[in-house]
Amino acid sequence: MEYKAKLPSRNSNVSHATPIKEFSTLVFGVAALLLLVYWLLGFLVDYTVDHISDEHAAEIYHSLNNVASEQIPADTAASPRLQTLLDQLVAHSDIPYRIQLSVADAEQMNAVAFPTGHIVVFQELLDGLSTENGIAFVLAHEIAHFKNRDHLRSMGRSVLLMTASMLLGFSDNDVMQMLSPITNFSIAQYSQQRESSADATALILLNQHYGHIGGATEFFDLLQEKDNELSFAFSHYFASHPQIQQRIEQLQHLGDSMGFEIKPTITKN
Amino acid sequence: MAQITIFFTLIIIGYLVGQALEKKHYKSIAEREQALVNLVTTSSKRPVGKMDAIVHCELVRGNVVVSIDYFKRLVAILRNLVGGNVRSYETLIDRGRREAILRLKESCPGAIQIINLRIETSSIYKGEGNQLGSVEVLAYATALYSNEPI
Repeated sequence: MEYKAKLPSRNSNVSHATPIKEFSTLVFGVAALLLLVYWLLGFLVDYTVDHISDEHAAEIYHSLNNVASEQIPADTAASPRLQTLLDQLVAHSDIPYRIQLSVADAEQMNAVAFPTGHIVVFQELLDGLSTENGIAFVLAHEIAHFKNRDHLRSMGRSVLLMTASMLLGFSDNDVMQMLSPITNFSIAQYSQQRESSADATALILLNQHYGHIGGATEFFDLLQEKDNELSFAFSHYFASHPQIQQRIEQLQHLGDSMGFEIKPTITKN
Repeated sequence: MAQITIFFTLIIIGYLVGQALEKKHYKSIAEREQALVNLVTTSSKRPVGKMDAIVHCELVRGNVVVSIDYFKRLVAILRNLVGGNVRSYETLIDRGRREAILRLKESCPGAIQIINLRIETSSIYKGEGNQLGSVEVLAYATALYSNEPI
């Protein structure tokens, strides 16, 4: 036998397929898995939240006072008139605990519901809205977050998502970053869904209080006037709130389908 | 948004630069292997041929540290979740071993045979999750020299 030095013609120790194919298969596979897990966990959270008693929910909110009260902006108590309006709306909503209303002096066209049982409205919003009905709708929307227990739902989701990602070993920064568009997208979509649902509850509360839904869209009309900033084409998929035009249309549609009337509004004084 | 943009830019840069460098490295490996193809290399403890002709022998070694790019590392991380062949690491190991042997051979010009070749691989940054995966490959052997062909 004669020895002849020769190199192998093909390297069979490495795969010659393009790594992009493997990458995309893995990314889409893991993403699908994550979405499924998120959906299942969300289902679990919703089921639990729906079965918690009002007293228990109030207890959880109360227990958050110690940890979350620092996050509430420095504020002043709302005028008795505004607090009365809120109390009346709360009474329609069957929430058994009291909700505290404050006004914050920040330049923000917004109102926030804190899980501690506080609602904070920003002065700019109060100045901008011209009718009591308009203000009542914004308050009703924040009350709706308590009625629909959105804080508990989102807290439950965060806790489960964090636990799951830790258990699955996703604590690695890069993986979390790679998958962040997916988690952000699902969180945003869920949040938009909760906002729409809060709008619907608010509309019903407004109708219960005034007997009609006049002024319901005043806040959104105002926002739309102000909203002339350029936003990137897909940003609304990742936004926590639905698009304003969509919210106005949803409210109109819901008002029509439930046979709510629109009557003249009360001017704020 | 900015963070995600930076992240995907890094992946794309990692992929393009990584692929280009790998291609270049493989080209160089192929050329140098072809040039050294007639140097008989075995893992046997005894030389092929007559032992009397050997006048001199020495320990030679070739050493290399290679790293993979960002893109391949991410593919490997994802692969670790589901299991299977970690294909994105294959070229890392392959390049490392072949380069180490080439460096070993290049370190002993004039040798007529290389025997007792051993290869050892160790990972650098072992256990450090946030570090890029790189390996060190050490090849060591005995180079034989002779004044006449054996």
